[in-house]
Amino acid sequence: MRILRRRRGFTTNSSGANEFLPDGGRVGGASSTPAPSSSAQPVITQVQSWGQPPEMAPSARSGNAKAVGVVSVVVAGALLAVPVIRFLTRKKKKNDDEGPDAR
Amino acid sequence: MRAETGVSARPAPPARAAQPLVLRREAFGGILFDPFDATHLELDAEGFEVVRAALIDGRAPETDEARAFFESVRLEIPGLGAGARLVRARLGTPLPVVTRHAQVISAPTLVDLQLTQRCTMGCPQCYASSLPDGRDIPFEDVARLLRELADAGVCQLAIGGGEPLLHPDIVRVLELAHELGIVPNVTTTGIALNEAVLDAMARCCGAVALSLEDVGEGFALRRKAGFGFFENARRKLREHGIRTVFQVTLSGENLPRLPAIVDYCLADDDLYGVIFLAHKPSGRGEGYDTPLSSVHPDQLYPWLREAFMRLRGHTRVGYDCCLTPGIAGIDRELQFGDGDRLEGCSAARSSIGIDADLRVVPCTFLGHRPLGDLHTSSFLEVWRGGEADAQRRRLDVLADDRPACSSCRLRDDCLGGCPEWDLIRCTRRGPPGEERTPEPERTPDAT
Ligand code: SF4
Ligand code: SF4
Repeated sequence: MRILRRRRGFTTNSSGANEFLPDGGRVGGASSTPAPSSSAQPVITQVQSWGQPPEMAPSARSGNAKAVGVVSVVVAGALLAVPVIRFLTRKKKKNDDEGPDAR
Repeated sequence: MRAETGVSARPAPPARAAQPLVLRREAFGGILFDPFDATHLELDAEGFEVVRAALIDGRAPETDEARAFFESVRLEIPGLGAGARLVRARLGTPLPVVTRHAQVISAPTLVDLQLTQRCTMGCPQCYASSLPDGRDIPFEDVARLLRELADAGVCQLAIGGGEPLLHPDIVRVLELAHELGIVPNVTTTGIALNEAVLDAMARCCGAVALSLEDVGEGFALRRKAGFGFFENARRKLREHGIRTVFQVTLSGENLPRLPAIVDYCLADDDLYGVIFLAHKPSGRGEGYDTPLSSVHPDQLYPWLREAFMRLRGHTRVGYDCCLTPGIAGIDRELQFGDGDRLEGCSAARSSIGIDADLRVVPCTFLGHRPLGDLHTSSFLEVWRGGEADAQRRRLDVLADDRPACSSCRLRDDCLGGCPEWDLIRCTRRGPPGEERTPEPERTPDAT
């Protein structure tokens, strides 16, 4: 006679059953749920430092994310080009008109 | 009535009316579910018979072994005893086990219900690609469906969308599910949290989840609403004594924000739980974020470990079944005991999805793999049908060809990960492009 599997906790998420860790019921809060009686194990509190943030492999970014990157570069280039062209045009026009207020 | 264990001076939440226990015979024995706190026990055949005799026939356990076993079940579900609680029993012939690894039960215990496709938030990473003019399931269809699910012995609903609170009959849906003995849980952005909805949630829901992929400015970028919007929703739920879960979907992009997210959760002293989910490349989310498999598992593990360790003394910590390979390597540190095992992909095994077009799908991310249509078939016909079986068999063979998985001690619990996408890698398998062949921990099954 055995309990084969034990889970405790309401499942809110839309990707299947989630397991709450065995001692996950220690805190009542608004839950009014009693702590799991089976959790005789001590709570581990061996907190370490977070260390270096993990990094994504550069090649792993999703296709669209890459596309967004490429589009951003193109758009940024275009945006930069606008004032340059306007500056050059204005300079030429100013030169043509020989007046500072010519717009 | 059980003692309440609140830790703060806040008023106790309105009591949810008691719902009956669920007792279901299964091929391995049976399931006992207590809606009070969603305790789910799977019992072997002998143990199930002891519990069934006590609860249904009113027959006390006769042998010392049976008495001791019943006592151990009562420790999990206080108040259990002959006549003490109403029982919703499903004792018919269980489904035979049809796969080698993926356990099949006679009906899912959890149904993910996409109550509506409608949402006005326009989040750029929405996995459901929800839109302001998305479709709702009419209440009459929801009511018929809920009765079918209750008859089948379904224990919990995870109601999502779209934004489920925009469904015109959300209050009636919550009340009906509760009345039928199913525990409704809701995931919301917090929009449309009016008094009527809050009151229904407090009376009927097990828990309500708010999604939290980042905090502060980062939240605003992802949600098209300021972080104040999130905090306001949390405040309303707290004031109404509603058990609140923060659902943290992790991707390669927001993983560096994990310390800030964990700190924010630690600052909330009244949280029901924190659930970590693996990002899936589905809907608008496909182009917005990158799955965790993009991060080298040797770097990912210490961070997941750290998040779990920091939170576990503070609140419940859970994870969706898609994240299981990421937890597999730290299962010993996390002290999974007998009966507290890891569970891999639950799609079409212990859970199933229903979308707003009343199509049954393995999980709500796999809209492109419909298993059946509830306009033309009953729910149990789809659950027992060929398409659902094919989905289970895909999962059953997933790990067979990988040396790391087929010889892994956790193979039958983890099942090798998501059958659809490469969502997350364990250190035993190694990163994509570097399929490791570690020392066998068990003999691979003959195929
Ligand atoms: S080797 Fe395979 S079965 Fe084992 S933990 Fe990793 S993904 Fe899961
Ligand atoms: S099929 Fe993949 S996304 Fe769906 S529940 Fe299983 S692991 Fe998660």
